[in-house]
Amino acid sequence: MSSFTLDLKHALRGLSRTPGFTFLAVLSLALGIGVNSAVFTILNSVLLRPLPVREPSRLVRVYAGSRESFSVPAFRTLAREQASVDLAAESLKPLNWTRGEQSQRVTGSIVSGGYFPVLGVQPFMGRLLGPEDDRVPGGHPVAVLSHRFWTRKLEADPSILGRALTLNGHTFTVVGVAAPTFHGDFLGMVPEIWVPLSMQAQAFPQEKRDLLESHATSWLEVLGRLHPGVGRAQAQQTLQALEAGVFQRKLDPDEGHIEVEAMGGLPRAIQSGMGVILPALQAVVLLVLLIACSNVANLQLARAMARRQEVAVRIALGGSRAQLVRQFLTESAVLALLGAGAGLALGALALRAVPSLIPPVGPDLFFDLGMDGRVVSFAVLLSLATGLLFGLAPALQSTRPDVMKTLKEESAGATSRRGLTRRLFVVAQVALSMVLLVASGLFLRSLAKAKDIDPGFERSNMVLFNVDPGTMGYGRDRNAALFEAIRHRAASLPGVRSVALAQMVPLEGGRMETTYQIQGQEVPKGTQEPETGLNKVGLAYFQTLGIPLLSGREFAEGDQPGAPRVAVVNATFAQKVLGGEALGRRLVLDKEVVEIVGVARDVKSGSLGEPAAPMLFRPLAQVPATSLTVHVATTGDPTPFLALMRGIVRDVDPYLPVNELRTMKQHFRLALFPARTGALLLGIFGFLALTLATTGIYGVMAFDSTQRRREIGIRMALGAQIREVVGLIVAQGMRVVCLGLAIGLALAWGLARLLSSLLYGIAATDAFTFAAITALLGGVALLACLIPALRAAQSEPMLALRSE
Amino acid sequence: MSKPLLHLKSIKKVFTTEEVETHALADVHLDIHEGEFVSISGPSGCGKSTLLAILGLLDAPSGGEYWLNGKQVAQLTLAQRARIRNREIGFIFQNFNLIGDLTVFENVELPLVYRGLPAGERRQRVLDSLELVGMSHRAGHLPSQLSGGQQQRVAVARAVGGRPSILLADEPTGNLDSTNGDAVMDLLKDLHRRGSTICMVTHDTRFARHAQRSIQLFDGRVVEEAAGEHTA
Ligand SMILES: Nc1ncnc2c1ncn2[C@@H]1O[C@H](COP(=O)(O)OP(=O)(O)OP(=O)(O)O)[C@@H](O)[C@H]1O
Ligand SMILES: [Mg+2]
Repeated sequence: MSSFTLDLKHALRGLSRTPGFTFLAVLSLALGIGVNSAVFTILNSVLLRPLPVREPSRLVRVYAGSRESFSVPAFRTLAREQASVDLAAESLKPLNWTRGEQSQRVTGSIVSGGYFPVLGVQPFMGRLLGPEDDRVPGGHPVAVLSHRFWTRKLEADPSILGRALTLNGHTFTVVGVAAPTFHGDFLGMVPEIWVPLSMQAQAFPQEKRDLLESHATSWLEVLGRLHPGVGRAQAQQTLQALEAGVFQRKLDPDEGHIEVEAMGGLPRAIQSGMGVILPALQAVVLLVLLIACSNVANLQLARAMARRQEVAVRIALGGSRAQLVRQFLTESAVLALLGAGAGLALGALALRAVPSLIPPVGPDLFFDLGMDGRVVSFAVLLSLATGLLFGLAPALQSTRPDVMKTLKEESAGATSRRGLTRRLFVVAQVALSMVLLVASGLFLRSLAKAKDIDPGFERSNMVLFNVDPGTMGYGRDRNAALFEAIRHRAASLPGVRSVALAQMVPLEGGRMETTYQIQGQEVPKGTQEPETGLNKVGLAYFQTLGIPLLSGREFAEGDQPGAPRVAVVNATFAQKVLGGEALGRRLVLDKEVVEIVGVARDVKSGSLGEPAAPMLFRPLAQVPATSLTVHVATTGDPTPFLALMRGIVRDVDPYLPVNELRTMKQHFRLALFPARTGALLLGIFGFLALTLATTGIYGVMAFDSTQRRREIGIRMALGAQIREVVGLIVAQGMRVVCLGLAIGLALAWGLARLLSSLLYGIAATDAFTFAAITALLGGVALLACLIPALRAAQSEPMLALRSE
Repeated sequence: MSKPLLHLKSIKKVFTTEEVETHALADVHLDIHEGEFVSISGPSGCGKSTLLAILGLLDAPSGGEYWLNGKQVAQLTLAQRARIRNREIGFIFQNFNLIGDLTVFENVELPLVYRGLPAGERRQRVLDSLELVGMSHRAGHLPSQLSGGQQQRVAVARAVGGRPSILLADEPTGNLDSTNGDAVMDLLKDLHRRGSTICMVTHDTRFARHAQRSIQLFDGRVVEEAAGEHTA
């Protein structure tokens, strides 16, 4: 038998002989590896994993400088003229799918003929779209379905090919279903139906212009596959050389040039944000793993102490130190692999909970959070690395050549305790847990505060829903009539206090902005014009949302297109921009002169944590919009009205879908989603850290007190009372804990500042949180010291009489 | 004869482990008077250490009566036993049992700390005791820096520092070579001469003879009581 298999055999036998130790060690590792593999799986699928297509490394995204998207003519020219990369274009748009009497919004994607060939996606059934579907404008009413859409919404109907789907009121024929692994090329936003670019006019009837010919509207995302042997830089050069001919208007210098970047699953803006958040999250869970590993190292040290007799014998029998160390490390490796296996299982379990974190309203987001080979190797390598690293200290310590001297000293009758290393691990554990717990404490406190923040508008008795008649090809006049009908019907329901229309809902996440000039104080041409938040609102908006007007009036029937242009500003706009006197002042917006007729109190519109920002309201009658949210204020509980809203819309137009139907309370919860998720995750990690650190402290203290039973016996023989012995052990334990607490406080104090932008209503150095967490951690640590101490104090003073 | 300092009547001790009952002591009667030097000897496993543990209130007898200084002490709470042990009993162990992390001074001071004496008085008593055993010059040392004989002298100092009613010694010379053993024995005899009451367990007949009274144990019973050569 080779010495390795012998080592392995001894390791397995040793571990099965001490099931308690093995269980605790594997559990600690499994928790640490579990959270790490869960977070890494997310990081992997969001940032690292290539698309499930042919040769993903050759895929690129093409950006038109900072404008990012291209017009159809620009895309067509580029695709035709250059020779280094095959280009394709797409745009995600909501489609209105009508099935029988019911209409619903689905995620559509309009793609150029090259889209599927360039990506190299295979059909699951039928065929995908190709260049032949992208020739005659309006001439290819065909659609390809995602596998997910086909199984979830069409019950995996096997005879779907050749069937007709009604999309935006037009009939499309299903020609294929895409491969189940293909979820589009943007992460999270999963297209359900692909239609050819040639069908733009039918797919998006709300557009007034013919987008296929318009140079002015840039709306296509462009991606490409590099030709073999062509690099990204080379492709970028060839594309840039065509810029002059491609863009009708020259790119502004600050818009930059055409850029070719490696394909990531996320839009550029989100990618960079995720590129920060996910690694940060990974760092946090690595802290948890460090705590877990300190536990394992401590357990191993303790075990090695208990086995020093065995080690001494092995040394006496001529075992070399290298051999002994290898034996210990084999055991660590076995533990690490067991931990990795259990951790991956735990991680997979945790990932199942992720979809429930995604808020139920809004577009159907889908993440394919599968664990692939990369995640498994990550978990195995991580646990082996940490396992061996943390196994090394115990291995080296317990095979010290002077171990015989140590043994002799011990038999000389003087008791002594060692374990500086173990104490250091405890210090580290307590400090790291402190950091995690403070972070989660801050988030929890901030969440509690956020619930108390007055957003400045009615948030209990209100129902909201969005209607987007643009998808049904409504024109401007029909649009206005439609919303007027909906408003009228909703307002006449008994129990409805007031109804208003608006383009934006406060705390929706997005933000509309506009530039403006103050009449008479125009900034010179070329300098940056000032910007303000913007919302387009209908009649009785302020009354419906319960936003008081500080002066002036809200929009009235008279504010028609032909009448003088008017606006309402918020208090911050009036104060900061106009110095207090706002009524009657005139602004220049889009070359139109607009008079301020009212000042409304500030509301939280972007996020709950934001400081008040200038905000401008314009009447929908003068600046129309197609997609509007209907705000229905009720006198009592709004829940029963949810069901009524669909009926009202159906009465007006049976094919018009009602989107994002929710109460204001539900909407509010959505606004708290980031904070809530942060608090939840950090809470879980903090709890894990606390549990691990507590078992760590307990383990060290329990082991220490067993090691010191003899010393305790002597003290008791000399007349020590139980409480004195307990006090002694607890004091020694708590000295270590307090050192950890102090270091942890300092670290947390420093790191909490990084969180300050995510916290509502409390400072990052919130004294209450720091005090409470210190008390919590200190209290739990005290218990973890107290229990072994009490147990040790039960030890027999008789022990002092025995000479081992 | 005066009232004995220690009075044991029908003391029994039964250990029960895994269904096995060991009768370590069966019906032991024993009186020790103030100022006496008693030795206990007998074959290994006959119950010497068990008897000493009961005398020192480290363990409670399974039956019988034990009067110490006129008080029944056979069945007391742990806390009460700890207090009496601290005030009335001084222990000297075969393997010294000094606490390795404490200096010589601190080891000797420990019982006085448990008694709650003020620091000044503790210091005086520690220095006196160390003087008595000739270890004052090593007060700041750690036990590991001392020889076995020196360690045992420190242990003796620790035992006498609290001025106990009786010194209990279990094989105090067992871990020492003959020179160091003799030195420790001389120290005990010296203490006896100054008035200490001593009860010592020993195998060594040479040392047993130093005592005034020698008690032989066999199988948990006192089989012989003889006056030593050193009659007072
Ligand atoms: N805690 C215990 N549990 C069970 N049996 C015990 C215990 N302590 C002592 N004994 C048994 O009681 C008997 C007396 O033990 P004791 O230690 O008093 O012997 P001893 O005379 O001191 O022997 P030695 O000379 O070897 O020190 C022995 O048979 C021993 O096995
Ligand atoms: Mg004995």
